[in-house]
Amino acid sequence: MEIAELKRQLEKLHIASFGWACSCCHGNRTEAEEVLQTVYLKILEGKARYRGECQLKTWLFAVIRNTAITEHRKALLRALISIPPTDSKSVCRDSGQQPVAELERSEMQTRFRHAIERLPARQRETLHLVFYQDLTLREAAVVLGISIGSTRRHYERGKKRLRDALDREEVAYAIDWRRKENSSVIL
Amino acid sequence: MQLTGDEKRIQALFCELKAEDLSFTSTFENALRHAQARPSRQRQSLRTLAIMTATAIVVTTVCSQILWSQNRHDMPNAEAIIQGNATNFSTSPGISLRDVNTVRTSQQSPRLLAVRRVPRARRQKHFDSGDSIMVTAIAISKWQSPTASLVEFFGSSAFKSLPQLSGSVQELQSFLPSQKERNQ
Repeated sequence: MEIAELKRQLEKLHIASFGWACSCCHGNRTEAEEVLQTVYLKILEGKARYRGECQLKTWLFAVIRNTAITEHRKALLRALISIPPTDSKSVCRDSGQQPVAELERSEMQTRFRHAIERLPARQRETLHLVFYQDLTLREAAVVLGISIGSTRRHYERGKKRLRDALDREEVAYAIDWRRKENSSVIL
Repeated sequence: MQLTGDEKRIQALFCELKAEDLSFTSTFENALRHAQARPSRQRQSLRTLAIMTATAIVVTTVCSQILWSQNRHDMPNAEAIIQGNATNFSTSPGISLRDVNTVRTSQQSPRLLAVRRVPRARRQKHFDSGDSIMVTAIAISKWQSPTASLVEFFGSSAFKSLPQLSGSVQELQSFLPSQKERNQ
């Protein structure tokens, strides 16, 4: 595929890629941006080549996932030998945005995010690919590099866990809300 | 894919998440520009690392070469020192010829070969310290207290000598007082 054509395709998939990168980076948008930049660089330098064996979207998502894992490992290593991150600007920017973002999130969204974060990685990734990216289970299996049977199992278990977690969160939220209401009545 | 009640609920939540992520997404051009700006920095750090590694390797090689060549030059001298020290030991009081021979025959032993590899100054120091230890040991063994003569008395030789165990019983009985003497 030509570089210009590849760039056009990447541009089309940019928003979806960012969402997937966010999921791979446990919701850390700064990290997701860096991962995405690394992926673009890999593709444009020819380190990651698309051979047309699957859809471009699934291939791109697989590259993003692998890059996120590598970057995560590097970050762990950096933390172990206590090397400060190379790009301190973006980290500062993120810490500045964090409170604003937190305020913007609805209560339900926050609880949903917490519930998702608590899921095992494979289940979280499967649910994201199916519900967020509208991929089929077969395509999700290609991205995750596992069999379709395993993907289906992760999907079912993830769904069940997420539902239970959301129910628990809702109950806890209701109890908390009622407690606040009662305390205001007493006061 | 047909979505059931729970699935619809999860999908709705994911849609909200998607909408939220959308507001934080930078443009593709922006991401690409940042990506293309990154390699120069990374390459620079990699180049610095490569230069540092190469310098370290060169310095280590040169140092090891110098040390090796020094050791090589020292080897004949080491043999001479060993020979010299051996003769010194033989002339020293209290050292027998057998000890000297032991030193000479052990020239091929791994321990002595290890000694050869030690730098000259250190080796000389080692042998010098060996001589001084020997001299001190001899001096200590020959030392006598100035008040030793005051302790001497007429029966000291009996105390210092061991009894003769090979003597017969009759001879020993002659030393004992007789029955009469005891009754008196």
